[in-house]
Amino acid sequence: MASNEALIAHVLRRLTYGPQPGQVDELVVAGRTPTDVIEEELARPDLPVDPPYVGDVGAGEPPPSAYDNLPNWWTRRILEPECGLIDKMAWFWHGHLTSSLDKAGNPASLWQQHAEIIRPNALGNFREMVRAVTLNPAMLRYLDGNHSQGEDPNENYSRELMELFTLGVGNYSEPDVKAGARALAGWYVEDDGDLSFNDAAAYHGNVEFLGRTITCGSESTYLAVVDAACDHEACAPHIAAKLHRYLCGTNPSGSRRAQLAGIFRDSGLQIAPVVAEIVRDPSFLADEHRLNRPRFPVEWFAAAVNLFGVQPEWAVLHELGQAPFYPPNPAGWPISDKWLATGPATLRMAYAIDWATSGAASVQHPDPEDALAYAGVYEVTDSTRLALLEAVAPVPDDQTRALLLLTLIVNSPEYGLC
Amino acid sequence: MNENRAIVARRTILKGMGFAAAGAVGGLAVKLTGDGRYPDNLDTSATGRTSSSRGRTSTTVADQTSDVTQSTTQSSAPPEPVLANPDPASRILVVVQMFGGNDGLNTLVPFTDDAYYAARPSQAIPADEALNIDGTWGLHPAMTNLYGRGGAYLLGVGITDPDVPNGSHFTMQQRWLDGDPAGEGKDTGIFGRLCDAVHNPDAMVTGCSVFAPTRSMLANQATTVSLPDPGAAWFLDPTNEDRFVQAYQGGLLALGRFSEADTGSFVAGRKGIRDAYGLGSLLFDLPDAYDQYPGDELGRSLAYVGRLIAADQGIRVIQVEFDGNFDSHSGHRGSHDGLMAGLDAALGVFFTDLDQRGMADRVMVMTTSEFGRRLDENASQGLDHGTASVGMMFGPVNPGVYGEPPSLTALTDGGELAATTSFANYYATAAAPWLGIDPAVVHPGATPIDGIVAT
Repeated sequence: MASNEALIAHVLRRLTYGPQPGQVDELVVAGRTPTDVIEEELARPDLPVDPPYVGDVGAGEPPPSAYDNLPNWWTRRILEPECGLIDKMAWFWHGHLTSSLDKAGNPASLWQQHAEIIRPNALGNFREMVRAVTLNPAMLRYLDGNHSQGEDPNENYSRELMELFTLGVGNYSEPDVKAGARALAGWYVEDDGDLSFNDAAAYHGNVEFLGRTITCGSESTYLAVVDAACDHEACAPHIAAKLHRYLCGTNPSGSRRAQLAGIFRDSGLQIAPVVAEIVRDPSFLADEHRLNRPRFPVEWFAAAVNLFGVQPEWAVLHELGQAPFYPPNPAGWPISDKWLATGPATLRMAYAIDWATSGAASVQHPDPEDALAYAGVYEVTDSTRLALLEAVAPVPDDQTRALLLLTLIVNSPEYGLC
Repeated sequence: MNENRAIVARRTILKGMGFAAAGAVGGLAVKLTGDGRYPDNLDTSATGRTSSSRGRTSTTVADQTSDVTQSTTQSSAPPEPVLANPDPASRILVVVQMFGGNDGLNTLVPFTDDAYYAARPSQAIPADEALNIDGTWGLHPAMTNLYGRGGAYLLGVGITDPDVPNGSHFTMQQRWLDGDPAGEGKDTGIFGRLCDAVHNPDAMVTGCSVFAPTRSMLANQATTVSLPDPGAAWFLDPTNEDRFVQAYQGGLLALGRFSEADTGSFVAGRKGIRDAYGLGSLLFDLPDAYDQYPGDELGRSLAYVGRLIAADQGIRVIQVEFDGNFDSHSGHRGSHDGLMAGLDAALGVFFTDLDQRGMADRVMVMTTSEFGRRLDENASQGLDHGTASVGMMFGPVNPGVYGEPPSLTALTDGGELAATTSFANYYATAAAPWLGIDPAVVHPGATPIDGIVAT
């Protein structure tokens, strides 16, 4: 049976961007159980949002600094020690209902998507989120809904709406893609980011979409399209399974998936009840669900950066492969062992020694066990423990030992997993 | 604040570190511009750069067209091909990416076609200057080394579905990098897929990019990295005398030690550490560079590629970027002539390098560019974005011109050359006969071009 420390560290890795340095020991000393910590994180309100300077939608050319300010905003956000589940889930939805600045163009539109759609619904309502994002100017640009003409519509958004956002491959047909595209045509994003509905460009007539007849040609047609997708029997299991992968690192069993989908559907596609069910279930703490997936670059970055007391900019996240507001493609960032491969591992090694020798790391733990605990690592393989002991053995002074230990620990397999 | 500034300074030092995670993990393969913003294009060389202003006085139309029937260049007997090494698993693909849109018609010149000279009064290659290949097609006059070596030239490479909008650098580069002619979306890059298909689990690295965007190296199984230079892993330099660095090296080596107790993701995590350490060591132990390369970026890239190939550690696919002003909307020849000369000089030395290392039968070079340029020159003595261009393969090839030439008189509705060969088939030629893998890895239905690879 894993220790309380190990379980609390697990909860904090999954539900926050921590654990913060020394946080787990403090919680244990304060008498908290893993269950207490789960409940605290579920109840934690969102931190106040201090918006980045990105200009306004509709105000013309964005200020040049907006292209740094926007991704730097999230880079700094995840370094705040109080940053919790809302931000963890906002990241999940950012990687699900993807839009990238390199195609969506306007930082203000991306910020609008984040601040008005993704964040308020991170634990809110899935249907509301998809409805809103469908007409979000950043999304219209990113998936080519912008200027789509009813007679010859762009199919990109219609396809991704079903394939990625709601149903998954195999649950819709090519005629559904075409029908959805027709129904969604007619929306224009002006150069300054404002949105308008162009009646002449819209399709006027009926389409058969996911088994429903949709009457097209009005500003509310998109709602019927989104609802048909959200009401489809494949939607709830598709989303519930992805939430399980994110929070537990594995696909749910068939019965668990059906159970989670039922909760999701019965709640009217409320996200919080599904997340709560996943993390309150004893399986969330089970051996097979701990350290079973790579720690995402944002997760590793935030924890390691706070360990070393440095303040890197978003370019580091870009190099690590997870730049905020730049998902690699409409499918978002994968949950896969790719993050553990040579390239990312080398980058982590390079950043770690860079931060160690330039930062303000607390170097009070020359003993490997103490240093591991400080870094939030409580389940340690023998080979890692031996490696740390060997490495510090020839180092005479405690300060250097302590710094070397932290620098090595963030490169250990244990620290690279979540 | 001071601390922040220190970090920025250190980041600058580390900038050469690269190892762009993108290649291995699926990030964006773009360079950051100075203000930290992504360019709106995958490649900064493709847009936003002013064309070369080196003026060039051209001969008149009359001079050129009158030479059509009296080309002074004799078609020489095709060079003897180097035959491919019989073991496909030993073969290596080197891709030279020429982003910006390389002009196929001035690269491989239709020097008997009046329509070519009529459309380009100031920007055509005179017929008597083209290096005559077969009486119909001639190589750009600056490409003397490659002409002597012999190459395979594939005509009309592009997107063959005329409905596909393809005037955008971004869209077209993305499709080429993904190996996705119809823009359907792929979750790996074209070279990443090739690497997955040839992946040998014992190889530390299967694919790498040298000074190049890495989106195309996105792989699922194989390890693919970006290798700017050995400075990338400075902390793994075995001659580093700093004690902390030495202790760090020792610790990393120990952390990567294989452990039978590892299960699940621990196995991959431990392997990543071990291979990163090993890769870093490899970078400090490469064979010396051949010393005759030009000092420009392409020369330095190919010199490095020569070292990687000579090390022979399992790398099968390498891409380099030829960063130049291919996007010559004005002053086309002033820019393009120099680029062809640069390409020829660097590749010429590269093949000599391979000859000397005894590797010439194992290395195929192919060039890519997201599109060609328009047939008609514009009022700025430039060429706007076009469609089809020429694909070039050098190495163990049967020299000659392949494929159907796009008509210069029956243009598309947009006034463009109609592509005759899908770039998927061009890639498939590198995949199937050369690397020995299923061409469907490139794209469903992709078919290699017969006869190019010399076996």
